[in-house]
Amino acid sequence: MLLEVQNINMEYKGGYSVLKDVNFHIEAGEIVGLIGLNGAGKSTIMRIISGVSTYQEGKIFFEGSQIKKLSGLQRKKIAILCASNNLYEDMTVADNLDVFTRFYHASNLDKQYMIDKLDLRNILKRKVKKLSTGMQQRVAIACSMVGRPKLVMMDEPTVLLDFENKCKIIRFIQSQISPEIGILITSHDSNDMEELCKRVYILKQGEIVKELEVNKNGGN
Amino acid sequence: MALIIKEIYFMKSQWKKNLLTIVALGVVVYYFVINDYSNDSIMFIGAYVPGMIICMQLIQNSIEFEKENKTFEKMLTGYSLPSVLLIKCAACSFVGSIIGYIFGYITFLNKNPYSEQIITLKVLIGVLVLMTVINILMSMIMTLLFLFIRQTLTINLILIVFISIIILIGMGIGVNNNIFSYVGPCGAGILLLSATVAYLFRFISNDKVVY
Repeated sequence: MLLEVQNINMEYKGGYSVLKDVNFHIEAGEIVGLIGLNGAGKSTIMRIISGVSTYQEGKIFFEGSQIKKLSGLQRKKIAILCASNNLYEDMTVADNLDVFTRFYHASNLDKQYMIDKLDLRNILKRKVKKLSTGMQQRVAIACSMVGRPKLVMMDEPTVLLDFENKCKIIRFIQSQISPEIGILITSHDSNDMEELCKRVYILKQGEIVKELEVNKNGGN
Repeated sequence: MALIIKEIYFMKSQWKKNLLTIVALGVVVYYFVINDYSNDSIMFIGAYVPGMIICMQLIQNSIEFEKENKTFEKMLTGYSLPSVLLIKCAACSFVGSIIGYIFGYITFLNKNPYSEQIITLKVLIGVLVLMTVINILMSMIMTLLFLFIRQTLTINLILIVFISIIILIGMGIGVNNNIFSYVGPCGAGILLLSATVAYLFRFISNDKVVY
């Protein structure tokens, strides 16, 4: 099992409960969805898995090791694409890619692969802030995945995108799945989930209320 | 290394803003050069003040940007918050000090064409070392300030007061051989303070920069 989340409970200061007894898992080679309304706790789960936020109770295992005990280098096998694209907007696309190539200890070959795969060659010298939302999202995905991570978490990767960019990104995500990689996607758009995911967890007010197998031939 | 490269790229992307500040500082320093202030004041205002102001600006830009664009979140997946902050402080104070040295050299030479007769190597090294450690301490204090105060107006007011105090000090005191015989104790004291502030970084929660 690539990722296993066991009985996670998280509270903010003052006792406000954000996550209640969350359990789910991701196998290598599958795309798993996390669907829920805004504020349901989707982004918080991703922050916890990536080691940015802490939780009070429960355990998370990544490739069999507890996530809290992973070194910085091991944690870089987990990539996160946040809802806000997390790019350096005043920098050019090339500089952003450079920064994240070094951050993930990736090679120039990996960088070139991302540039070609996400069709970024023509915009390398442009500043990120001058790109459309769709282009920015493609750059953000390239920056997140340049290190060839084992687990990729994408927070609303297709939100606010036009049809063309949405298709490009969905095709890219589908092309990335391999027997070694697992992908976790959050969204509140059930159509995207149906197209991409094998399994979907429904999150409501910090609790996973249902797990669904997606039937690609319609319905679930 | 990735964090250092990131800071360098970030500074490069902000070059217009930084250049504007350097030009403005040039005008202020030139005012002191032509208005017959003492060598001591010129040295302080011409070297320390520009270095500190550039260092503060770099830290402010960097932290505000990373908070607003939530890029801290990305960095924290691979590094701890104290290491991200310390590298930021080191990079900004290093660049601030380099600019301070250049400013100091130009203004002092401008004032004293035969400066090598006035300023000894010992004093020069003292000035440089002290400037670097002051910038390191200041960048750390500024980091805490920018992380914990959310209102830009309050931050800007604090900066204006702080810079005014530095300039007033510069107009009153200065550099001479006697003062720089205390460089060792002064530098050690400042470094000790810096280590204390660096230790405090360990207690800042990630939530402070992520939410």
